[in-house]
Amino acid sequence: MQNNLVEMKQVRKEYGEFVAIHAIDLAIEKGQFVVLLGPSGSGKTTILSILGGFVTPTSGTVTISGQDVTLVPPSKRPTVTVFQDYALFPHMTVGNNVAFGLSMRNIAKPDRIRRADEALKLVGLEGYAKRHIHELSGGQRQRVALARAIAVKPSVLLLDEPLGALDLNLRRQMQEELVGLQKQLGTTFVHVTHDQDEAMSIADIIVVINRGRIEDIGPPEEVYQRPSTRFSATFMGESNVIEGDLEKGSDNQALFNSPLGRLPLAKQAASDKNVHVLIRPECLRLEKPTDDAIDIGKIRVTERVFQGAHVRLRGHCANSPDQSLLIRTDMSGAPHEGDEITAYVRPDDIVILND
Amino acid sequence: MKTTWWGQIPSSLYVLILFVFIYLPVVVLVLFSFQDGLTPVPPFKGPSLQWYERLLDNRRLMESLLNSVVVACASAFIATTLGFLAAYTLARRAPRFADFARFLLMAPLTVSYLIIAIGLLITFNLLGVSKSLIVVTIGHIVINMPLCFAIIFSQMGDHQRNIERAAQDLGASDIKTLLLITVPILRPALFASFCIAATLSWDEFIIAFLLSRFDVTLPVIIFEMLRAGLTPEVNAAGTVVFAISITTVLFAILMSTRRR
Repeated sequence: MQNNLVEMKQVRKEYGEFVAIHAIDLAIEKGQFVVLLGPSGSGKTTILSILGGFVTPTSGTVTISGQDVTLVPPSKRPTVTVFQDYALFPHMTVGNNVAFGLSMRNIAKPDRIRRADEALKLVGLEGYAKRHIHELSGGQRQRVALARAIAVKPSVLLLDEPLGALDLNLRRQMQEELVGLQKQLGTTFVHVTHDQDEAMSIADIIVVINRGRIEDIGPPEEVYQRPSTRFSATFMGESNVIEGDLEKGSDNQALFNSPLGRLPLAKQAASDKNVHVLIRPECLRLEKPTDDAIDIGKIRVTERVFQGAHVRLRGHCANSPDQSLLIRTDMSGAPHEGDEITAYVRPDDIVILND
Repeated sequence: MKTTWWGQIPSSLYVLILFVFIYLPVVVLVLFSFQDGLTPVPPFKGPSLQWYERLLDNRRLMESLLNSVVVACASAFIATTLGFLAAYTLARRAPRFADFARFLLMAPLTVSYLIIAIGLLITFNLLGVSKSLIVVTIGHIVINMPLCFAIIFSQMGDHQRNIERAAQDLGASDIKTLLLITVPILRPALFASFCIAATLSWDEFIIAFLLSRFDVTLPVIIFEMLRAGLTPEVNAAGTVVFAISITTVLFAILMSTRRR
C-alpha cells in the first residue's frame, strides 16, 4: 500500500449514456514507467486526463502520495501533462516556455533560468533557450514540451501519445531517450499509446485497456507471453487463438480438446466448454524443441511472407482445414507454399485466455 | 483549356467596371478637395490646398476631429474588451445555453443603426441622462460589441485551449492564464477587432447625430457643413475621414495577417 504513488479506486466516468471508464482500479508504484495501451476510443486518454485533473470522474477516488486529489484542479496537482500536440506557448522563447511553471511557483529569476537550462540540457537542447518556437522542428518541439514538464519536477509525468506525430526513426530515438530520461530522473511516467511495439519497448508495466476496462496489467514480457484475455492476446502482437474444451485427464492434468488434437497443458484447470487458448506464432516449432513438446499434426503451408530476420507462414491443419495457424520461423530451411510440415508446441506455451 | 487574350476581355471589362463603380465616388470626392474654386463641380481647376488650410483654421471642426478620435478609441477598446470576455466565456467555459447566448450577442448586427439610436435615445431619456459624447460612446459600444465578439470568437480554436490547459497544468491561475497566454496569443484578433470597431465608430453618423448635443463628432460637423452648401471644404473633410479609415483598416489587415 505505502509503495503506491498513484491509486485509482473504482474510478468510473460517464458522458451522458456513454460509459468511458467502467469502475477501474489501478495502482502505480513510485518510479515506474507505466504505459496505458489500447486502441483509439478505449478510454486510455480519459484515464490520463483523470490523473491530470482535466476530467473529473463520475465516481471513485484518485489518490497521489496518499492525498485524495479527485477534485483537485490540474494547477494544484503534483502531475504535469505532455500533450499530444505539445501545446507550447507560441509567443514565448524556448527558455520562457520551459521556465513558465517555475515562474508560476514564484521561483526567483536566476534559479528559474538555471533550472530551465538544466531541463533543456536533459532533453538535448542545450543553448536553445533564446530560440523561438516557430524556428524548431517537430522533434525539437517535442523535447521542449518534455523539458517544460520536467522543469517543475512533478511526482508524476503524464504523456498523452507524445510521439504520435513523429516519423518512425525519430519515434524510436525518442522512445530510447524517454526511457533514459525516466531512469535518470526516477520520476513516475504514465504514457498513453496505441502502438504495442512502443509499449513493449519502453514500459516497466503495461496496462492494456479496452472499452473502458483494464484487460491486462503487468511487465511487457508477461503481458506478451501470458496475456490474461483474448483481447490482450490479439492486441499485443500476432497470435493463434484456438477454441476447444478443457477436460481433466489422468493425474489431474488438464487436457485441451481442440482442432489440433488433445493437448496436455502445463497447469491444472477446471473442465470447461468453449475455452480459448493462445499459442504465439514463434512458439510453434518445426522441430521438436524439448522432450515434452507435443506434435500438433500435419500443417499445409498456404502463405509464406519474408520479414527480414524471419519468415511468417500461414498454414491450415491437415485434419481440420478450417483451423488456420501462424508460424514464425528462421530463414534457414523454411518450408515453401504447398509444403506439408509437422509442428510442435511446448505445453508451457499454451496459455488459457479469459473472454 | 487555354484562354486567348480576346477571351479575357469580357472578364477584364467586368472587373474594370466594378472597380470604377466602387471607387469613382471616392476619387471624385478626393479630387475636388483640391479644387481651386468655390464649388466642387467639374471642370477641375487646381490643384490647391486652400480648402485643407480652411479645415485647419476651422476650430469647431478640429475639436470634433479630436472628439471623434477619443470616441473611436474608447468605444473600440471597451467593445473589444467586452467582446473578448464574452467570447472567452462561451468558447472555454461552455456555459449552459451557450448557443442561445451567442445568438443574442450576434443578433444586434442585423438591427439598423437608426433603430438602435432611437432605442438608446428613449432609454437615456427615461433614465434622465442627457445627450453627450459619453452617450455616443456607449452607443458605439452597443453597435460594435457584437462584431468584436464575432471576430474574436472565430479565432478561439481548440488548439489554443490545450495551450491554456498546459499553462494551468504548470500552476497558472485562471487570471494568469488569461493575461499571460490567452491574450498574447489572440493579439492579432484583438487588434483587428479594435481597428475595425474604431473605424466603424469613426465613420458612424446616425447615432452620433441623435445622441450628441454640444460636443459632436466629425461626421456630424460634415453633415452640418453640407446643409450650409456644397463647398470643396466638405470634400477636404471627407477626404480626411476616408484617409484615416483606410489607413486604420490597412494597418489592421497588415497586423492580423503577419506571420506569428
